[in-house]
This record gives sequence, C-alpha cells and structure tokens, in this order.
Amino acid sequence: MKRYYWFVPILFVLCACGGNAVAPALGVAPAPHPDRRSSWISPELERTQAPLLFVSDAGTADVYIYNVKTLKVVGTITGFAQPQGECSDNKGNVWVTDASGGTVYELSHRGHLENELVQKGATPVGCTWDPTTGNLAVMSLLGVPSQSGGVLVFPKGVGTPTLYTNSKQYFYNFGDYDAGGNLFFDGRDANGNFMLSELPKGKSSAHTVALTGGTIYFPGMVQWDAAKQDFIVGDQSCGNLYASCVYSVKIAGNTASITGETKLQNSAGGQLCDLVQGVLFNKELLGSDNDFCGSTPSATYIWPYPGGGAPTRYNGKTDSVPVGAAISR
Amino acid sequence: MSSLTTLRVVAALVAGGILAGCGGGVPQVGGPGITSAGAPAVREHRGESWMAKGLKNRDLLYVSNSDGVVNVYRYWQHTLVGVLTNFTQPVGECADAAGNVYITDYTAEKVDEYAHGGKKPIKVYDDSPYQPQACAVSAKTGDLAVANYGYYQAGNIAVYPHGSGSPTFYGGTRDDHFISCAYDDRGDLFAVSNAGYSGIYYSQFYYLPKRGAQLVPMNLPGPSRSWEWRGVRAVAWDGEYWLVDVYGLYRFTINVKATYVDTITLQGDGDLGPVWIYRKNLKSTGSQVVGVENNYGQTDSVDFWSYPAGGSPIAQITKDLDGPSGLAVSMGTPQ
Repeated sequence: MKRYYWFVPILFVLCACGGNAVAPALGVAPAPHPDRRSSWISPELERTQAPLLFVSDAGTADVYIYNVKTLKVVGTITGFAQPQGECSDNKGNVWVTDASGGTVYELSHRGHLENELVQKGATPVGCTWDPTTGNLAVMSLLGVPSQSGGVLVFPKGVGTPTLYTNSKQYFYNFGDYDAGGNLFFDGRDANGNFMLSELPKGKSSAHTVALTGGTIYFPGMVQWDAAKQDFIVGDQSCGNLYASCVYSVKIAGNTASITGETKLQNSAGGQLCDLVQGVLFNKELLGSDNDFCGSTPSATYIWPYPGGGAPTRYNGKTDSVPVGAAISR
Repeated sequence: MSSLTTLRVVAALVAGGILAGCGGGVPQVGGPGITSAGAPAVREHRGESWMAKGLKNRDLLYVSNSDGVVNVYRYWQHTLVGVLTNFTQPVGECADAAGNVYITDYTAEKVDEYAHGGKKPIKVYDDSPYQPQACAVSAKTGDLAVANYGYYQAGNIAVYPHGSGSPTFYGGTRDDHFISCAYDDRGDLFAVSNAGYSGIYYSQFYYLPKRGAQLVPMNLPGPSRSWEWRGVRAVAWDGEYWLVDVYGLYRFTINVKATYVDTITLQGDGDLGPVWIYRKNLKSTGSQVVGVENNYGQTDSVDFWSYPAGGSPIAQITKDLDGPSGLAVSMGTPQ
C-alpha cells in the first residue's frame, strides 16, 4: 500500500507538466522520505580498486555504492534532493544528476565530492560522458530554455554549458555517445510519444531518429554497446504495461532499428516492474527495479546480457525508489 | 554554553559595538558592512625586520599585530625570535607545506610570501584592487587562496595557481565580504563571508570542490534547529573535519552536504580571533589549536589548547603583542 502512494504523486507530476503519458515512475517527483542520514564510506571502499556500482535512490535521496562482485553496499552518500540518472568517466568519477536545483554532482571512485555543476532552471535527470572529447552531456527533462528540456554539454565536465535541442522533442531523459562522438538521447514529444534524437558530433542542433522494428512506450536507459556496435535502449513501459525491458537498437543514417529484446526478471521470477536506468558492464546488465508494482521489494540486480532472464545476483535490502546506475572502474 | 563562553560573547558584542560606530579607542577602518572580524586598525610601525639564527628546523609561530608588525615565536618555547616589519596592515596568515609563510597586507592590497625564518619577502602577490583578509595554501596543489574582504563592493576568493601571479577570482552570490578560507588535504576549499544587515553580521559559507569552477553556497546546520551563523571569525581544516571558528570550534564533514559533528569549547578571557590547527604532519590530525585573543587595549594574548580536547588553555603568550589578528605555523620539517 505504501508503494502505491509513492506512485500516485509521481504520475500527477508527469501529467501536470504537459505530457499525456500514462507511464511508470520516472523518479522526478520530490523525494518523500529523505532519510537525512550522514554519508558513510566503508574501509573496503577507501582502499578498493574494484569496480563499483553507484545507484541513486530518489526515495531516500541517497546514492548507494555497491561492490559489483558481491552487490554488498560499501558506502552511502547522502545529502541529495532528487538524485536521478548517472554516468561515469574513464577515471572512475561518477556524475549524479539531481533534478532539484539543477545540480549535477561529480563523485570520485571513493564517493568524495569532486565538483558541483549548477544550472538554474534545468531539471537534470540523465547524463553521459564523451570519451572522445571529455565533455559531459546532461539531459534536462524540462525547463531549458522555457518549458521543454534540452541537452547541456559541459566542456571537459566543468564550466559553462552549451544548450542543444531537437525542436520536436519536449522531454529529455537519457543518452550516450557512440564511438564517433555522436550523441543519441531519448525522451518524448509534447504529446508524450517516445522519441530518439541524435546530436551529430560538431553540429549545433539535434534531429529526430526514426525508430523501426517495434515500439518503445516510455524512455529508459540509453547506452552504447561497443562490442555489438549498437545501442541499448530501455523501455520503462515495455508492451505498454507496468514492466521494463531493454532493446538492442542499430543506427543506420537517420533510422534506429530494434534488432533484439532482452526481458528482465525480478527475484521472484516475474517481469521487472521499473528499470529506470541500467548500465552494461562486462557482458552483464546492472540496475535496479523500482518495484511499485508490489510483487517484490525494490532491489538492485545483475543480469546476463544480452540473455536477460533471471538475475545472477541481487540485493533487495537497500533500495527504496532506485533510479540511476553507473559503474566506477 | 559555559559561563566563560558567555563572557566571551558579551565581550565580542561590546567590541563590535565600538568598531561599528561608537568611535572608541580602536579606529574604524572598514566601510559599510565591515565586521569586528574585519581587518584591524592601522598603526604605523617603524623599524627593521630581524630574525634570530638557527631557526631552520624549528616550528615557528607567526602572529600579525595591528601595529603593523608580525612577531615570530618558537612554537614550542613561545619565545620571540624575530620581527617582520614593512607592512601597512598585516592581517591574515597561512603557510604552505614547504614552510613558506604568506601574510596578507590588507591596506597595501598585497600578500607577502616569506621563506621559513626569512627576513625579506621572497615573493609579493599583487592583490589590488582587493583587500586581502586571510589566506590558505593547498598542500595538494600549492595553490594560494586569498579571502578578499572587499570594501564598498563585494569581495571574492582569489586563487593563485601554484607559483603564478595571475589569480582566478570566485565570487559569492550576495554582498559577500570574505574573511577566511581553508583547504583540506584533497584540495577542496571552504570559505566564509560576513555581510552586515542592520548591524547583525550574518555569515555565509561556500564550498569549492577541487574540480569546481564556482563557489557553491553551503548551508551548515548548527548544533540546534534555530541556529544562525553570525560573526564567524574563521574556518579551518584539522586533517579530518572542517572547523568553523565562532566563540568555539564547530566541526563538520562536507560531502554533497555539510553534516555537523560536534563543538569544541575553548575557554579564554578575550575575543577569540582566527585559529591555527597544529598538525605534526599532513598524515596526522590536529593535536593543538592556537588562537589570537584580542582584548582591545587589555592584555592581548596568543593561547594554546589541546586539540580536540579544548577547555582551558595549556599555554599563553602575552608579551610583545599589540592587537593580534592572525597567525600561522611554519613547520620546521617540510611536510
């Protein structure tokens, strides 16, 4: 019952912003129960060089740091307002978008604050780091420059950003760069329909990429899969249901073709309720299920990719309303 | 709040009233909004700098005075071993890992750098048109941060990259008059400004993470819900926690947000000014705290306390002081 109450205000916010989508939680509603705890970092985190999974939780307004191998929590960073999507660079730093106050926090591998990027009026919910330039692209769901969102690109991850938009897109969610430095990002138009856009490297505006081979109902993760040379694009409303899945999407010109679907199960064997953002790492997909559907507790999972199916590991003891995921190497 | 602390607050308020407009014994130097924690009065001083020999491996305590003189003491012996003159209005001080000492000269709008035990500046940072109130040096990068008070205009934080005379300026979000700044061991900067509104000097804190490009306003929770920060004297880093110096030492951690840790009470009989946390080396946390106590014509002193125990002073210097306003410890062994 408690989880149902979570869901209602989130839908209300989405509808009030002009979108028609009836969609699962996006996680941009105010965090109802920030736990106001102090950050803690375990001795293991202070000395580890192992890859870590950072999970943002809009419910507790915290970021949990998991050991990827064990899915044990090795640190908790507190003090956020509405932590959303995440991304990381090749040094192990992780950016955490915070929809409240237009802030993006940069954390080190050990969870120390490295920088804060503040852009008033923005609603940052997703980000990605460009390995070809070192630039940081931040997806602002709404509010830039007026009511529609946009992509803010911070040179080298600092300083004053440049705003990029696709005039046909209204909501901006998640994105990633391909190997050539072209930025692809998803979102919705003003009517709530899924959109995929491309900001070609060096260009000043983005254009729509037509999606073929299937339908995505509500934008989820976007990540470049270097091994397969395609993108993983998530759907938070797979089959127009309260369910999540991810698709393999091949880009050719201005067309994006769905070439495969990966279904993801929760710890009870049911279909995942809401994977807002996952992250591909070493042939595994890592992410959390915001299970407002009520079948299992919200949890952080690891699934084989592209096989999907049952999780190989999970931790259901920590998450409240998990949203973003990023790997710190 | 202990009775001694209460006495200190009353003394500070009385002193603040004198500075703010009563035209008492201490000449006013500040423009609108200058606080009792602002630069002290200018007093002309004549004489040559001198320095004893054999100080190379000695920990030295530098103390700025309102008569324009900087006293140099053996840290552990508390004996005067040198005097630096040639200042107009020395105020804040800081030291780097090599033992070089930086002294802000408020009215002259410059910062002088002295080698450990040196008599003449080895470098002068032109801070004009700003009035440097305090400074800090990053042990990580060697960057020199200068808290510029500002006069009729807002001040700023000027960061001189290691060895550079060309600073980057970081402004606040309001009519900020910066009075102190400090680096932690990672290179993050914590700063505080005071601004006067209706005679009450509210303090605003800022944080500049090591990769940051702008000062981020940082709300610091107090020990109680209704807490307000007024008339903060300085901020510092003790090797583990950030400190806010205002009639006691309030300790915090900062990572995304600030979290209050505890309060250390320093008993004394004057108006506590900036403090210095003595650390044996950069791997250790503070073991002593040293602070200037300005008694406005009474017995000025430099007091030493155990840290983090606080309580009553364990030692005191009272000789050769005249309105002490800032201090720094130059370590005899490079850090």
